[in-house]
Amino acid sequence: MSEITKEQIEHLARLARIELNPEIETRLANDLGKILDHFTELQELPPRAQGMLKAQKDPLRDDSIDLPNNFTDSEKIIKQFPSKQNDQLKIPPVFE
Amino acid sequence: MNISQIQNGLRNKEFSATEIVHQYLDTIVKTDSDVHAFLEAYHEDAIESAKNVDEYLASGGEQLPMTGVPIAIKDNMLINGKKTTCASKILENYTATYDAGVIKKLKNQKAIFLGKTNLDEFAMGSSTEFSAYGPTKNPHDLERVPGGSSGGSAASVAANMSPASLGSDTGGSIRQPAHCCGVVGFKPTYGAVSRAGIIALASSLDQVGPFANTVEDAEIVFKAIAGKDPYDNTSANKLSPAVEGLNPASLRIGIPKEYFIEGIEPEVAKAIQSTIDFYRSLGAQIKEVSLPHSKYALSAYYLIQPAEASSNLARFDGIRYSPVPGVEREGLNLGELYRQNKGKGFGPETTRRILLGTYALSSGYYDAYYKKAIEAEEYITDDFNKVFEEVDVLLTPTAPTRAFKIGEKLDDPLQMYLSDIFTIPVNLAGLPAISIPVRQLTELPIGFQLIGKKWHDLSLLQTAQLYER
Repeated sequence: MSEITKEQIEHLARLARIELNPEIETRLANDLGKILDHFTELQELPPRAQGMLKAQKDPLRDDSIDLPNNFTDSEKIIKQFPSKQNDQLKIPPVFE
Repeated sequence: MNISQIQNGLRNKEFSATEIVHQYLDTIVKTDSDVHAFLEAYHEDAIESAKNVDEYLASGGEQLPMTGVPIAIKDNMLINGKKTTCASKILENYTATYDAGVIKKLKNQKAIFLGKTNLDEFAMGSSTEFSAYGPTKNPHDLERVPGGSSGGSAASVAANMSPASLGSDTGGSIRQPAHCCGVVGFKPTYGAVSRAGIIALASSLDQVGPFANTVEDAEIVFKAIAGKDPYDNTSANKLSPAVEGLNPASLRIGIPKEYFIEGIEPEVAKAIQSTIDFYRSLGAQIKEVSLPHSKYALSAYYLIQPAEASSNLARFDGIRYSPVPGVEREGLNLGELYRQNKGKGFGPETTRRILLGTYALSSGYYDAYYKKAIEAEEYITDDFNKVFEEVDVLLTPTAPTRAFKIGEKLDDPLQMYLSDIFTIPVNLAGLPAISIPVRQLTELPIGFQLIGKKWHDLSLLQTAQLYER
């Protein structure tokens, strides 16, 4: 089985900025190990000559700038700020 | 009631839009305490809208296909001024500040919104059990799941609480609950319907589509919401027209042998065989075909989808879209506040997939996982392109089993993921597909899936209608 350690889970949680409790960390290590094990079957596939994303291969439109930015209802967004000062979003300091 | 019956009734003044809306709201009051399909029902607003429709029609206003037709909306679609939670604690206090593209189109036709339906948190799940606000029950058996993630939308139609609803389908989230609840569920070609204002799960796979009682109704809703939206650059007007005078005898239906795997419930296998026999009896040519890379679809999907989800959901930090309940901000620095908000705001499956996606995209694993998954997606798409040179549509089961018991697969993510094994390849290839209820054989519903060529949504719907007639 693909081994996922608790330390790896902690590292991923740090990258994703999610606080996890130790019990959940253990369960996630176990779940992710099993899931990743299943994914090893993909290694059987021969590499593609040229990997391209769907959007590149099959574009749905030409590139163009055609959209005016006419959003005028900023009050509704400001009203939902958890914390604000003079209509500006207030957050804790990034540096202490 | 079917949409066409509502249209005719309004046209012939047999009843008013207000009466129709009252009828559905009454059913919601009576039924939804058991089923829990709705996160919020718009009792007052729906009546108000219906009265406006009645006045509009009485004054000679044009009746469009969805005018006065009630519809329920999955709670991952924005309706201006309405709460949109995605069934997550992290958005418990969020009110939408604009209309999604599909909502604008429905408002233009004067459709009436009955409310917002339940889903697995951020549309991640196959049972609606991962809603932060409690599971939806299957109206056919309250001890069973309605499927997911659009379980609330499917159950609302199955329990006659709404004549139609909108869902979203990233790996089967419309078709699998349609199968579980015995209703029609249609996932259009990727790009046929706008994704603007739909809270993104996996942007390269998500697509909005209808639930309804009949294929005809699903088509009415689909036509109302389809088309290019300047706010979604992946939307386009590319639909091929329906086939005039479709002759069943000229239909070529492919049966992919890889879809009849071990583990299919015998009742499901029997039901699917009955639908194959039906099309054969119409004179259609039935042909066994092969999609050899289908077996890699589940792995590819559960790498691509979490990878995109981990990126899409990064924006939900409890700062930009309303506060997260239960987080005390005082004394926390910014990093701690993010971690607290996400830790308390996201449920177990969402957290699992964010971490899985973060892993798949992280340095050292990208080539082994994400890149490989994209390659698998290409092999799978090539398989479909090849078989569609020989056949017009594919017929498969929608899911390997009927609706399972609540709690049965909750602690086993891989078992839960297998519910979508027949629907996932369709999203990877961006194709249209529909789940249609098999005529009743057992007490629990079973759906069969028809998969069409890209942009051939209308001829796919025609083929599906043949079964209903």
